[in-house]
Amino acid sequence: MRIADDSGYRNLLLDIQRIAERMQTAQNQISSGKKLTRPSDDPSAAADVVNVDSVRANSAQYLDNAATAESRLQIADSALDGVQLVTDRIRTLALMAQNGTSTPSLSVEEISGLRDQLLSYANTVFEGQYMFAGSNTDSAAYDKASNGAITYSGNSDVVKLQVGKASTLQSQIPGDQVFSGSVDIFQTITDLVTAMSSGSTSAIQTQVTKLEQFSQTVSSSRTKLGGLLNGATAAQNELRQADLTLVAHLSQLQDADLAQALSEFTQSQNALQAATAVGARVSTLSILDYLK
Amino acid sequence: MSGLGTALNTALQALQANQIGLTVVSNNIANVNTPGYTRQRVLMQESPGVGDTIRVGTGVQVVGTEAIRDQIIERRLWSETSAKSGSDMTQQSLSDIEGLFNEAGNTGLLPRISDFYNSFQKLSTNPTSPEMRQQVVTSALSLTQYINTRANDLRDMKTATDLAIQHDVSKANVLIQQIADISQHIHEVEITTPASDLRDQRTLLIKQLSEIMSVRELDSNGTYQLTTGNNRPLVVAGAAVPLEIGTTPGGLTTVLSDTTDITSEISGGTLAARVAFRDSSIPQYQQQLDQMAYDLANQVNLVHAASYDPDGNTGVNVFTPIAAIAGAALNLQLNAAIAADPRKVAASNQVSGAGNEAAIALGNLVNAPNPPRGTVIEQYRALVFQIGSETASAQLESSQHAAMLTQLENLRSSISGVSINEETTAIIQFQRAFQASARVVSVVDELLQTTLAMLGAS
Repeated sequence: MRIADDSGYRNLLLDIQRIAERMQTAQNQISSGKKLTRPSDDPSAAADVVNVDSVRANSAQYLDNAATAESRLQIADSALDGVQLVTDRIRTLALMAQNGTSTPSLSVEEISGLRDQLLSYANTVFEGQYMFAGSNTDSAAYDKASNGAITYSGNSDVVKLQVGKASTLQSQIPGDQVFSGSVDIFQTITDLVTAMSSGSTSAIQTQVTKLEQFSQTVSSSRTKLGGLLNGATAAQNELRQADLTLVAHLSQLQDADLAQALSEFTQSQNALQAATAVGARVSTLSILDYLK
Repeated sequence: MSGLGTALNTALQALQANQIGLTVVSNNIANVNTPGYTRQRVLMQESPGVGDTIRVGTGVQVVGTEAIRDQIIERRLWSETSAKSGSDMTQQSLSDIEGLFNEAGNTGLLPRISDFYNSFQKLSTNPTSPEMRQQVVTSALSLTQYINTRANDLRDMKTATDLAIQHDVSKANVLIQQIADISQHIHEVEITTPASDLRDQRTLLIKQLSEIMSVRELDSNGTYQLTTGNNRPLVVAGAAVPLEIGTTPGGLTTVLSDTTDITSEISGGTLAARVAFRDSSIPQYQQQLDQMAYDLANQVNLVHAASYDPDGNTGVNVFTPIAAIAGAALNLQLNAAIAADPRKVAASNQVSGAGNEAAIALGNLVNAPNPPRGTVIEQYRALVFQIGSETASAQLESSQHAAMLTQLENLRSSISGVSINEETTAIIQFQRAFQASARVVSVVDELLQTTLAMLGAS
């Protein structure tokens, strides 16, 4: 084939452009650490990144929710811990009154103080929300009337939070399952005070039995809380574990293989050197050099 | 019998012929880097012989020059030029769309969709908190604005492409006029001599026109015609038939030949690429974005309107209801009532307004099956995949065409291009011939002097 002068230059230019393009790609990968900078770099990887990013964003929210549930359950648990201590103390006072080993007026005074303490436990507030009011979290769970009667003003809703794509976790126990469930502790205390004032041991005994029932309720509620807490911790661990896998997948999809990029860069650099060296020769090989 | 005078005359003709040869070579070398230049060679012919018994030639004549041109390769070059400039244009245009949906920096649409749904999950942890409600409104607003912006970008691209189509047509018309003028000129000149330089210019102009659209040439028996790929006339017998610009009822530019709308039949070049981008690529991505916006708004509205805010109000939409899928992405708007009062965000599925079930349900819509199109995220994933693979294949096509064009240009060069080595060899050839002819002149001169001396001596 007859070779015209411009063919050599045209080929050289095309080759140098191609090599420079490859070099540029490798250089970008090295400096940015990413092999996926536009969807066209790897369309299916880009689509997968959309998926993984979305799943991670959702999981991050589930993780927040599980952490929130955990804190709330802990708050409820420590409130019930206090409730248990107070209930035990009331029971002790009742038994002492029953045995006649205490001054009734002093005990009654202490018990009504303990009743207020129970009320404040029942109205535990966390992050502006009443923890034992069911889903009616923005108003007090129990209201004390002017006559001293304490009534539940929450509802029976069991509040749950989403902690996985298809799983929810109970984050609160409504007060009517604890404080005013099978035993209404506030009514029991009122009745106990009446019984103590009357000095009737059998009447006191009735209320002591109720106090013991209430202790049972609190205790089984705490067991339930413990189970829920375990669930919250497990959900968080699971989400963290899953996220690690997702991060690894994401890195596989979009992070550059530095070793490969560096070798690609060196390779194209050598190719470019060779191409330019040949290019320099193209113009020197001429019949003109051999004519004087 | 021929005398010394004949020899002298023959030598003179040889001097002239080789001088012309050198001029042609010189012109070839001068144009070694001129785009579109076709190398020429001098055509020599021996002069008729004289003499009755001994017939001797009377030298050499230059009968003309010849351009070494292969019209078939020129035409293949034009069509490849059209293919390359078209695929370059498609690739650039798709890259523009690709930039709109690039999630690599985690700053695109996806985080806004996630934030929006997550804001409902956040609300579920504290349904009465004004901050959480505000967050729902803020993330919804950011989402609608982002989708509106992207839809606007697509619409602007369509407008810009439409304008570019008009510019392409005007550019093509200028070239068509120039080609017509030059063809007329060629016609006039070639009554006497071949007009290689003018043909080179015309070839180059047609190549430029090919970048805009593919064309066909008909050049036989003195009739010259240039048409579109689909045989619409552009140049007929030295007269330009310019393309016209029309408008569709929808306000889009059309290309007219005479009065016929030929917009959709234009093939190759930037013009066809732009028409395809305007009429098929952009609408397709607009449609996908619209569908996403439509589904998102409807799904959220459906659940939200059936739920209750803390004051027990129900039937409120998060987004202004969208009537049609077309234009949904542009029309996606946060309900003004909710924007003004975040307390209207519904988190409850009870008439009392207590509870967080509705907030959870709204947050979970991110994963809600939506056959046959899939969740909003799945739709977006499909969109990203599509623009990515379309751009990637356009890039591949464009680089393939670049290689093919180079190959064809090399083929053209191998026939019509100037080779310095070849021309230098020709110089030596003509130089030696010139030198030899000069030698003949001087020998004849000597002989004449000798002859004259003989005359003077007697």
